[in-house]
Parts: sequence; structure tokens; C-alpha cells
Amino acid sequence: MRLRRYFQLGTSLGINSWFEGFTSKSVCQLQTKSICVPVLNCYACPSALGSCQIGTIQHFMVVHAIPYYVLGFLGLIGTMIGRMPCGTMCPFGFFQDVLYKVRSLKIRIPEFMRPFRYAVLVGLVIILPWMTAENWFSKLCPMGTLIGGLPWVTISEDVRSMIRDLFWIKISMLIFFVASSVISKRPFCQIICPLGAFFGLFNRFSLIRLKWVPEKCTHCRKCQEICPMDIKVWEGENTGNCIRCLDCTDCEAISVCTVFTGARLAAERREQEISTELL
Amino acid sequence: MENVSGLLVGLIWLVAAVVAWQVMDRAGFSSRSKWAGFSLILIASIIYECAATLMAGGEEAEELLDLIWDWNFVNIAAAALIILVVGTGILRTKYKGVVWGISIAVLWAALHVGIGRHEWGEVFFNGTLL
Repeated sequence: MRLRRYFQLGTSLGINSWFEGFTSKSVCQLQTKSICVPVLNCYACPSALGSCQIGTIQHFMVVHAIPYYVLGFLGLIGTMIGRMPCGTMCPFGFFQDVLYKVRSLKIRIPEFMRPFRYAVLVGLVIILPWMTAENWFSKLCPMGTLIGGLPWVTISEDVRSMIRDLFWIKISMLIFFVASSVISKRPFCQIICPLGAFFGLFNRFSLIRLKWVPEKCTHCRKCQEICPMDIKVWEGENTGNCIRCLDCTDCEAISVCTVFTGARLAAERREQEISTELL
Repeated sequence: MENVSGLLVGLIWLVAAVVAWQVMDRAGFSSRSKWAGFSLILIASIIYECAATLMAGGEEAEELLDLIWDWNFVNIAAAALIILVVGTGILRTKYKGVVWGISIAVLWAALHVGIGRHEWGEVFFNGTLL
């Protein structure tokens, strides 16, 4: 088993380890709830120790304020490691990775669907909550349904009595993503996730980066095969689609570097190319 | 009713941005051109909404001016500009280390402002999301 699986499992359990919530039927109110977790995890889960950053951004949009704390916090993580939390820590990403292990027909998600997650980020998280004073993404979030809605409906009769039509829409969306995760790689992360879209915007200039060396590449496409996001690394190793799981670094053509060493290596390669041309 | 019309207007802008991306994709435009088109439509939607609010005047316009006409907003505006221009790949710079340094500075400043304002843990579960 890959090392990142332990990280994913540890993070999923670690940030949801206030199990008292299930017996006391209350949301954790510890100081830890003041901190937004850098992964998709519902604030409303009975055992959640942290809060949801996407929910917090929407809340600020609803009250017409700028979320300086959340944007600064997430932005700093993005500038350091890009989209790495998606690949190594996210519980919903882990859930999808596990579902994809189920033997079934496998299909590739068309690349043209990927930019839709930016529309979700700008639309459902920023513009629509600002205009309509409603948390549109949280209303539909499948992770919220999985670890927030479903446990609450199961343990609390009061919450059960509050179920409206929206709950069944949420359940349908969850079922859709569970089913699609079995047949394709991380469909939610590829097409919908606004947090992944936000972190992905930092991939091109984050401190930790990937470096693909064309001279060492044999074009065997194994990197795409093992990539949980089905990326063609040779077409762009630092695009917003990469979740920095580092699985592809098993290949000697792909390595981890920093924003500084990457630039130096590129300059060296350019110099080498020029000198070869001159010869 | 106001919420529904707001939702429809927002969705129209989003669909327009996604359609623009798809049309440019099929027409064989480069990645940076697609990003530029996509971003421009979304930026236009935000400018349009802000302009409409300011033109309408009243309390909402004052609220919006208070938000933007603030030195603290510079951090977020600078970060948004960097993300938009460099993060999307519209501009390919070889000075990525410098961009990284500036990003760290402005985002750290934003975080500092947020912590100073005690902006955390403001989302409460009250059953409305069901």
C-alpha cells in the first residue's frame, strides 16, 4: 500500500475524531472548530473537529464580507504545496480512490468537462451566495450528505423531522458520485470540487512542483494509468488538474522539485539545447 | 422571487463562461486563450454585478464601497491578480520564484487581517442545509 493511503486514512479519521458527537447528538464546539481544514470535510459531521472552508467562504459571501482569514489560510497552503492536500489528505478523495478499486467497467472522463469546477467555485461558492444569500454549494455537497446529513438523519429524530425535498436531491447526488467513482477516477475532484479548483490555481507557481524530463520519458503512458486524476503528465506536469499525489514520481522521468530548482533546471536545459544547436 | 432571478442571472453567466471555453476548445485555441476567455466572462459578471449595485445606490452600494475601498482589500486584490494571470497560465513567466514570494507576502497579510478580525468558525449547523 502506498504511503499516502496511510496519510489519507489518518487525516480522515483525525479530523473526524470527536466521536462523542454521535452519543451526545451535538456538533463539536471545541476551539478546533475555529480552524478550517484544508480538505473537503463537512463542519456538520457529528465527529468533525474542524470547519469547512468552502462553507465559511459562502457564509462570508452571504453576509457580503471578504473572507480574509480563509483565503489567506488556503492561499498560503496553495502557495506552499499547491493541490497536494487533495491527493494526500482529503477524505472524499480517499473515498473515491477506494471506490475506484472496485472491479467494474472503467471509463475516462472527457477532458472538456474539467473546467466546470472553476465555474462551480466562482458560481456556487462566490457569485450565487452573494446574489441570493443562500449557501448553494453546501446545499448540494455530496461530502456534506455523506458525513453530515446521513449520520444526523440516522441518530436524531429532530433532524429527521426537518427533512425536505432538498435532502433527496442531495442523496441522489451522493449516489451519482458514488456510482461514478466506481467506473471513473475521482469524478468529483475532476469536475466539481471548488476547493480543488482553488488549490489548483496555485500549482503553476507553488513551492513544491513536479518536473518532467522529456529525455528520460519513454512515452509508455504508465504515469497516466496510475494517476488518480488521469493526467497526461507529458502535456503539463503543473497544471491545475494535478493533485500532487506523487504516484507518478515512481517513474524516473518525473521528479519533485521546488519553484527555484525547477527554474534553474529549465535554464540549464535551455543552455544545453542552445549549445547542442550551435555544435 | 428575487433569489430565483439572481440565481438565473448567475447561472446564465456561468453557462456563458463554460460555453465560451468549449467553443474555444473545439476551435483549437491554446490553453491560455481559453483561460483568458473563460476568466474574462466571469470577471465581466462580477464587474456587472458591482456596477449594477453601485448604480442602484442605497445601503447595498455603500456596503460594497466599504468592502472595496479599504487598504486591506489590496492583499486579496493582488493575490487574485496573481492567480488570474500566472495561476491560470495566461502569462507564462520565468520568474516563478518572485511570483511565489509576492504571493506568500500578500496572502500572509490577508491571513493576518482575518485573524485580527476574529473571522473564524462562523458557519453553524442548524439544520437548514437539509
